[in-house]
This record gives sequence, structure tokens and C-alpha cells, in this order.
Amino acid sequence: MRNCMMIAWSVLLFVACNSDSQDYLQSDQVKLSPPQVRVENVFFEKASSIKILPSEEGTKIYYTTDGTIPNPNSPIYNHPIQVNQSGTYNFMASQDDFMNSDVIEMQLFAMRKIDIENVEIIKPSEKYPGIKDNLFDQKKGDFNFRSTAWKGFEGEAIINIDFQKEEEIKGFVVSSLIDHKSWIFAPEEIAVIYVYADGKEVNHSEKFPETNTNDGKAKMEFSKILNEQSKLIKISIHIKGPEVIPSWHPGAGKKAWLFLDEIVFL
Amino acid sequence: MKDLIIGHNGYQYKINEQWGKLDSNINPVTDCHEMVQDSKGRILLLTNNISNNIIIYNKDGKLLETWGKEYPGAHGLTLKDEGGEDFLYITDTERHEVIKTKIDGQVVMTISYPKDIPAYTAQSNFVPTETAISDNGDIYIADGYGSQFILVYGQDGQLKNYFGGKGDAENQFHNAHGIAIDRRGGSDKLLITARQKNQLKYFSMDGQYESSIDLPGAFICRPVIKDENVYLATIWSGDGGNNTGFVSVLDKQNQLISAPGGSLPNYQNGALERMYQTLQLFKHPHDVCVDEDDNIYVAQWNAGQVYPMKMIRV
Repeated sequence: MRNCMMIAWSVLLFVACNSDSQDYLQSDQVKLSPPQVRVENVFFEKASSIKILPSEEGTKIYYTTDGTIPNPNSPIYNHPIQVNQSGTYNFMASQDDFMNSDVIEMQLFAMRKIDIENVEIIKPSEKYPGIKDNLFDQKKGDFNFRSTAWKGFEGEAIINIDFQKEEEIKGFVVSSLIDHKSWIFAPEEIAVIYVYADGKEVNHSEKFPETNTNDGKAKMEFSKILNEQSKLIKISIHIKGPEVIPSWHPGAGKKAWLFLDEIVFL
Repeated sequence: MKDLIIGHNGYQYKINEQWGKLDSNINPVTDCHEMVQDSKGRILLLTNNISNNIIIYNKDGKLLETWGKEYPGAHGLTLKDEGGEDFLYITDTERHEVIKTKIDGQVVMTISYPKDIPAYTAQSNFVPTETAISDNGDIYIADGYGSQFILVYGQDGQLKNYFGGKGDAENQFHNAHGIAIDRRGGSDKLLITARQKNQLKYFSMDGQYESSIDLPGAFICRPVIKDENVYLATIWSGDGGNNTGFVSVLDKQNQLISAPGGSLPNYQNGALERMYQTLQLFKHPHDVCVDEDDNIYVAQWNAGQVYPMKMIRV
């Protein structure tokens, strides 16, 4: 009889323990958030640095500096990383109790600082005008497209710049946001008119077809155009997003947003 | 196997993610916007799904009843005990109205847009997100997706006062998303969300600005006051990116003491360092309801039609 009671108690205890762990979410069912990366300057003239903020207790941050995906054999972040040339850095948070975080990628660009005074921007939405000079302040916006670091355009943007003297421009980078949940898409095509000191105009266009695939994650996009003949006095940059939102998206067929925070010259 | 425990400084919680889960073919939700507890201890959820705008659970997550098919923009839900009877105040951002109902859904009053205020030229200017009800019955409406005014109505439905409006001044708002009456200090004050600025603002009951609480990195919804604490669903966090958010708990000095799902709050020279999410547990928390055991029920916006979860204090 006593044995029967003990077995009964064991079964009860087992059921109690089991239902307890079934009721509560387990740590290993939850993913760490991607590391909080603070970049001194995404666009820099001489040097920049990257700092990672603390995550859950005991979390390690694995990183790479060559654009590859970090793994447990990658270096572990333990102090700010100094950067003095353009590059792609990837970071992943890892802790035994949780699932690894998604990888966060940061691109940094060594740039030429040029004072842009004579510029025409056609035409930011009244809803998301940004601050006046935000496309040329060398400051990267964050994922909050509502902030004044971003200018929002309905589908396309035209940026006409008169340098007012000859400038050595080897190329430029258009910095934009991809946030499909907010109907924001990356540039698909950038058409440029280079104007040289002798008045000659050269048209150039590049397509960026791979940027608007559907993986649901917001990310920063950098569209780079290089220029062989470099001495310009004017440039016209026509940035085109998708004409309409693609068919896989809930907003299919409607106007896509284009959000720009910076244009830097190389 | 290890139970997840989130939060800081004694405000720590285990999670029952399945707490409010129902058959979505019978009781669907779209956005789970707000939750309150009634005088019978039941937990009421407001969703903008017109199959059942109000879903009523017991504290164990058992479905008790549902009602409401006429609130397509159901957004704000406030409960007020008026003479021993529970009344609900629903803000509807699509109907551009505030609707007072009995606890069973019977409508007793509807407030439309304030035609007498020059900023309101059309009903579409009025997009109310939240209400707070004072002990004398005055209805404070936060026009958080509209013209950013706080509008004060009497129980007769007549406009008595208004203040705030859109702008950068201390007494103005960008997204006055939530409002509550803070009775902790002995006298009543209004505690109002200024979400884009990551702030709460104190106003006197007659609409004078008093002070602000900075919560950098916390895009907060309405303040929910229970005992000495303020609890806030935090819909986005850090830089405001999608699929972020956590829950914020303030102590009686209004310092952030715990951020379940977020980083450890850290004050330097009296200022809170910018907060961010550390676990991908929450997606856009939109409201919290705190029961008598200090357990927290969390309703989430744009989270894939998930039902509310329960955080059990440990």
C-alpha cells in the first residue's frame, strides 16, 4: 500500500513538473535580439569606430570584418573596433540559454567631404520632409524612418547638384532604407547625368535588381555608383524605386516609398 | 529546459505565451490593442476585429464571453467604476468617435468630433487613441492620431476644456497616444504619453503643463498605474525599428526600474541611457493590464494576430 502511495505521488509530481514547464515559455524557445551596434560614423573622412552595447547577461558577440557570417570560431567582441577604411562588419549575439540572434551587418564608407550648397531635391513628401540638409550631413539615419534624418519620396527622387567648381568625384553612395512592412523599398535603378567643366554631359544608369526580395526584415541599403572620368561641375542623380509595390506584398500595385538619408561622394 | 525569466530589480516574470490563445476561426483577433480588468476580476481585451471587438477572459485565460461587431477602429479601452457599476470607454480611430458602454456592450453615450474647435474642420481630424475618466466623471480624450489635443468632456457630452495640440513646445505633443490619471501623490494629475519624444508629460487636471519624464528608446503606449508603479507597453524600442518593443515598469519616483524583454535600465547623472530590446519575445506591445497579483497581461499590435500573453511575477 505504501509503495502504491509513493508511485502515486511520483506520478503526481511528474505531472506537476511537466505541466509547469509546458505552461511557461522556455529560454531556448526565444531568440536574442541582434546586437546593438553603435558606429561612430558610417561615413567618415579618416577614421571611425564600432561599439557594441550590452545584451542579456553572459552574451558573447561574434563578429567578422570581411562580410562573412559570424560563427563560434569568429573573434569575440571585447572592446571598440577601430576602422580606417571602407568595409563590411557582421555581428551575432550568442548565449547558451537562448537561440543565437540574427546577424546584423554594418557597412562603413571612407568618403570625400564636399560642401554642397547649391542643390535641388525633387521632391520629398510633405509627410516625411526630413531636415533641410540631411542628405549631405554625413549622418546616418536609424531604422526609425519617421525621424528627421530621413526624407521620404513617393517612388522616385531627383537630386541636382551644382558643385560651382570642378570637383574630383570618383563615385557616390546613395544610402536608403528597406522596410517592406512600412511599404519602403530600395532603389531599383539610379540614372546619373555627369556634367563636366567643358559642358559635356554623360548619361549613366545602373540597376539594382536584387534589393527588393521579400525576407521581411528592415535593413539599410547602400547603392554605389563608380565614375571613371571624375572631374565634375554638376551631377544629376535620379533614384528610382519600384514603380509599384510588387505582387507578393500586401500593398501590391500601390505606390512604393523610397527613403533616403544620405548621399556621399567617394 | 529552463523557464524564461525576464525583467530586472525584483520585477521579474515568467511567460505564459499561450494564455489568451483561442480558435481563430471562431474568435479571431487582428490587432490586440488594449486590456482592462473589471470589478469581477475578469480580463477584457479590445481588438479591432469586428467578429468580436471585446473578448472577456478569466485570469486563467478561459474564454467567458465576447461582444461587439461595430468598432472597426477599436483602439482605446478604459474602465471606470461609476457608482458601483463598471462602464467602458472605447475610442475608435476609424469611426472617429469615443463610445461609452455598459459592461455588456450597451451603448450609453457617443462623443463625435469637437466642431467648435477651429483645428477640427472635419470628423477625420479627430482620431482618438485613449481616454481617462476623473472621479467627477470628466472624460479626458487623447486625440493621439488626430490633432494632438487633450479634450475634456463632461458626462453630459459637452466640451469643457481642451489643451495640448501638435508641436514641439513642452505643453504640446507628437502622438499623444495615451492618458491616465496619476493618483499616487495624493492629488490627481494627468500623465500623458508623448510617444515620438519617448516621454511622459504631467499636466494638472485643468491642463497646465507641469513636468516630463524622459524614457529614451522607449516608444511608450498608455501609462497604467497600479499601486506605486507605472507600467507601459513599449511598442517600439531602441531606434524604433519594426518587431521591437518590451514592457516598462517605473517605480514611485518614476524611474525605469525594470524593462522585461529590454536592456537593463541604467541612469547616468540622473538621465536614463537609451533603452533597447535584448530578446525577440515581444512584437509591438500595445497595452498592459496588471492584476491584483502583479501579473501582467500584454496585448500586441501588428504581431501576426497573436492573442495576449500573461507575464507571471516571480
